Amino acid sequence: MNYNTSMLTPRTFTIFSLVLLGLSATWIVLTRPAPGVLENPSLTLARPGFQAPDFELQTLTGESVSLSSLRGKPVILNLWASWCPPCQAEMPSFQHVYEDYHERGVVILAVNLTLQDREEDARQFVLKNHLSFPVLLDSGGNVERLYSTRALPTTYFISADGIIRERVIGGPIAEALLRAQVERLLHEAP
Amino acid sequence: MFPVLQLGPLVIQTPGLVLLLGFWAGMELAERHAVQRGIPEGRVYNLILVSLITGLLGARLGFIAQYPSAFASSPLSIFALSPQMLSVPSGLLVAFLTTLIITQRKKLPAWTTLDSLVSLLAMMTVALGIAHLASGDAYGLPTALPWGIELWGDRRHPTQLYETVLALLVLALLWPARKYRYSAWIQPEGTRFWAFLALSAVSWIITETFRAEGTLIFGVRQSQIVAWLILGISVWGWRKRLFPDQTSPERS
Repeated sequence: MNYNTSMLTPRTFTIFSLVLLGLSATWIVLTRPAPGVLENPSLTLARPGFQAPDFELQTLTGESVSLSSLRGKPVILNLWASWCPPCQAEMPSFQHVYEDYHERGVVILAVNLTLQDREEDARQFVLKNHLSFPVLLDSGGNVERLYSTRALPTTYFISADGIIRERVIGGPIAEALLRAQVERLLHEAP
Repeated sequence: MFPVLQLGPLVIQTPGLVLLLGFWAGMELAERHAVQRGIPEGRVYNLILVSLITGLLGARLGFIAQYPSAFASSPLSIFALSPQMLSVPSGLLVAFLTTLIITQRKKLPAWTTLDSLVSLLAMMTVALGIAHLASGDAYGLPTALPWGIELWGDRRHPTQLYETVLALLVLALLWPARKYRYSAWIQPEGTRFWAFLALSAVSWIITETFRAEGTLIFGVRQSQIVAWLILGISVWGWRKRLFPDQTSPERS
């Protein structure tokens, strides 16, 4: 078909436009999704918009903590290892934010990927940096698998209803971003 | 899906890298189109670069304005290279205003400039589709079709591929050409811009059909209604630019 100027007239263009609009409207109506077909955050997956996968791990002090037991509180989940320089660099920011927000119900869980680290090194790092939030040991690599960890550190911001709102891959994370995300989670909390 | 490339201690966000490459290629293409249409060399290039820089600044300032207390405790974070600390609406607004001001101050022909910027937008749409493919965002509904892809625990429509292919098609249709036998429909000033909007709206309507996420309004997807309205406005604008002297559809 040759689009020369004799074919391209106001009349043909108007007809073409109306046909296009009519076909589009018909397509939208005929292909509308059936009720309930669009996905909701009930699916469990380690990415924003989905329910955060549950896990249960031991802390460095031997207590057991599960993610599901923290439902109702905003959670910052940080996956780290003591040998990873950006992880080391960002930990003081987590401590500052924990000190400022834990009384408002914000929970920070630092999950050490112990399969690629040494428990003793993790313990020394925590002591040296005076970290007072719970540090969990992923000795079996369960969380590493569940959260498909591709890079360290990775931080998840989980709302009070258990949905991942934001994921930050790599670091060190800016302290203002941590605080902004915490404010957002607190604002959303029921 | 390859959301990140880890090179030693360096973590590169693949979607960001793709968008950056798309931006660079789009900028080159926009400049080429502008020169073909008689805009002095470098003008559109500079316009895009300055709008990008002010847009990024605007996006960061918008984010700071949203969470001022977060920055009061750690003011150095203002300079952090963190894409999560950008307010997209603020950035777009500032970039748009910058483009407007520069176009007026440098006396650039508005419609020709917009037509040139279409190359950048079209290339960015392609890059966005590839970025979605890398990150796994904008994913599709479950399907049993043979070309479905395994993603997020289900076999799904490869909506990111649909999006990329349609964007490539739009880019090919609007490829900058000085004189092209079949392109009378995008030759007059401003028509390339309106054609891009119209074609992108159609692509959007098609792709959204297969997306797993979305909001419904009156039982249909809200995004498709928005795209349909954009389509309506675009064909109206397109017709006005294509036939500026015609007041009635009967005249030819």
